[in-house]
Amino acid sequence: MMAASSTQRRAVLSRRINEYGLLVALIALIVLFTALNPRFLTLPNFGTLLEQNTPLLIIAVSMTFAIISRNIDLAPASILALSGVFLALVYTATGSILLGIAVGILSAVLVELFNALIIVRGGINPLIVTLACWIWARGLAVSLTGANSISVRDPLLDFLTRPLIGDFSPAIGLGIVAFFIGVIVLNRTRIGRYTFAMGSDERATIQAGVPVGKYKFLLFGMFGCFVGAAMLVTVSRLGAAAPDAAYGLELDAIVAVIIGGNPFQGGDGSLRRTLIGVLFIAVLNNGLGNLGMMDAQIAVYKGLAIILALVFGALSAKAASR
Amino acid sequence: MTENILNPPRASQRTRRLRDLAANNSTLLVALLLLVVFGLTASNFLSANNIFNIFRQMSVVATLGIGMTVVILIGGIDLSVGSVLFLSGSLTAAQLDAGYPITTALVVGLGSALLVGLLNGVLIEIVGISPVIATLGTLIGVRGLALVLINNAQIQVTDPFIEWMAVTRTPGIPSINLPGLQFMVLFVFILYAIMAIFMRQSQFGRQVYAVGGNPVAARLCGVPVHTIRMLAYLLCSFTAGIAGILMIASTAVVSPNLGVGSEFYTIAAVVLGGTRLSGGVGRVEKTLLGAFILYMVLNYMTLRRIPTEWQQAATGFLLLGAVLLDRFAQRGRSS
Repeated sequence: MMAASSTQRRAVLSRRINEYGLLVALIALIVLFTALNPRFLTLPNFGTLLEQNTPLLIIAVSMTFAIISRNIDLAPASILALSGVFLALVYTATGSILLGIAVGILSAVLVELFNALIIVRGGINPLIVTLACWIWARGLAVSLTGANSISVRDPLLDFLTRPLIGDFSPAIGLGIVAFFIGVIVLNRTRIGRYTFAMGSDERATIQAGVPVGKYKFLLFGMFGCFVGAAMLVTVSRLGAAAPDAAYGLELDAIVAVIIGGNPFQGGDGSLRRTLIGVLFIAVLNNGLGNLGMMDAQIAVYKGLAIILALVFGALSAKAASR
Repeated sequence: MTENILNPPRASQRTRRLRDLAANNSTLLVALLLLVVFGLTASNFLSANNIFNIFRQMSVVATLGIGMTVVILIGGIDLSVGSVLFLSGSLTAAQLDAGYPITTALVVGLGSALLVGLLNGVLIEIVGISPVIATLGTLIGVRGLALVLINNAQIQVTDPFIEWMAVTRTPGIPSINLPGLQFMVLFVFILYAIMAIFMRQSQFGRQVYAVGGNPVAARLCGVPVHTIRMLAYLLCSFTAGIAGILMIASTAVVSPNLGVGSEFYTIAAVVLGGTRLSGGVGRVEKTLLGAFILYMVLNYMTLRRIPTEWQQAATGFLLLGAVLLDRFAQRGRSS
């Protein structure tokens, strides 16, 4: 009897560690960087940190849906670059930023819907479909621009990344809005419910009468909107549409979702965990960069931190299920 | 009705057999079709010189494809091969640069690759992290580690053995315009021949298919599932290590973005070769054909003066087309 309750207590404890472990690690990291570099914990630096990582947050939100529903999406960074190029081309040709933004976001949605079409109608593994898209969308972005950046300077778009309240720009607000839209869709709507259902057992979901294909189209269309929003922030920050923009962002987003504690096998997860994962990656990148490290060194520490977080998460999950 | 099933009409039997044959060899058919179309539309395409050129261009991705196919056959995936390639290539180059003999340099390069393979295997099989995620972590960390170890430097490779691999050719036959093959190309073909035999004849080969086809059944039959999977990741990193040495042989210089993105092209070659990402179905030697198709298309576009930027876009669509074609061939067979 005593033994049973103590193993039970241990299971509860390890579940807690699994849930809040990364949050503790995040706080420890912030304390560490502040001790090493007093400039780290200042408002201007936090404004920069948040704005730099707004595209990551937005992509990570849609990636959370992708991972929960078992429709991994490798293409968002390439589509981001491609839709940015469309924005810049239309803006340069017509001089209208609103038309440019509309075409940019629409192109992101259309490309994601094209992926959904092949996944649903062709019955092909999303990993391959979005891998192919990772290759061709980036290639198309590079081809259309001849590998050069196209300058986009417009007051409306510049406004997005200019400090508005103190050191914080409207882009950060856009990231927060995207996050809460994600939370509402995931927890309060039918799309969210079927996202979980598809991820835990797609065949059972189909047999329960859910038009899974339709909801996959909706999901991928939503991914396109998120990519479009992330694209606006990226183009505004650079003041240009670059064909190599956001290279590797999809990997950072997947890592953020997973080290936050969402299981890669889908069916379960929450956006709160994703947010902690994004902040962890953001603080790690910014803190190491502020210490004057070069990218290669940052990558070593980042890789190490990711592997440690994963090992820790996997072990505590094992302990919790025991 | 039952009579119909027992004694189907001959004609439909023959078309069915034909369709099966086409579905089983769709990769070969696509390769032959492309050879004919490209040969008719680009004048120099079918020259022996150009075909051998394609062999040289595809050798790195083809080498990466050996281990990747085995990993995909067991139902896993390894995204870290581009970084492992860089680690092994840059460490080998750095050792040579510091004046160590070639054997030491090769041992260090290939040994470092094996260590990453061991790390991948432990993370996936013992800790229990999903393969996509674990190898994503090593993809990010290992390239950084390699850059730190070689201090972010550009290293020229001037070792005679490494140069020999890229330059030495087999004797050609000048009278029929047949040039010689580079040693590294020949080496890739030999590797594939060995692996094709090994996967058919060895216990390991059979166990790979058992684990990929149905891990639970394999375990119940006494197959050491975890050991086989760990060996697959070790093998994949080892072939990535070899690919790194071929890479520095063909470029003769180590620069920081060597092999970036090659994991995606490797997976594309494996899938073009008809291996299923779900595991258990596929052949190592068909990946060589997949890599050949990939580089044949790239080469053709270069001959037709299509800018390199457009070539990448076309590669993505090629992969999509191949997968869709395979899917419809499968559907035709099952219906």
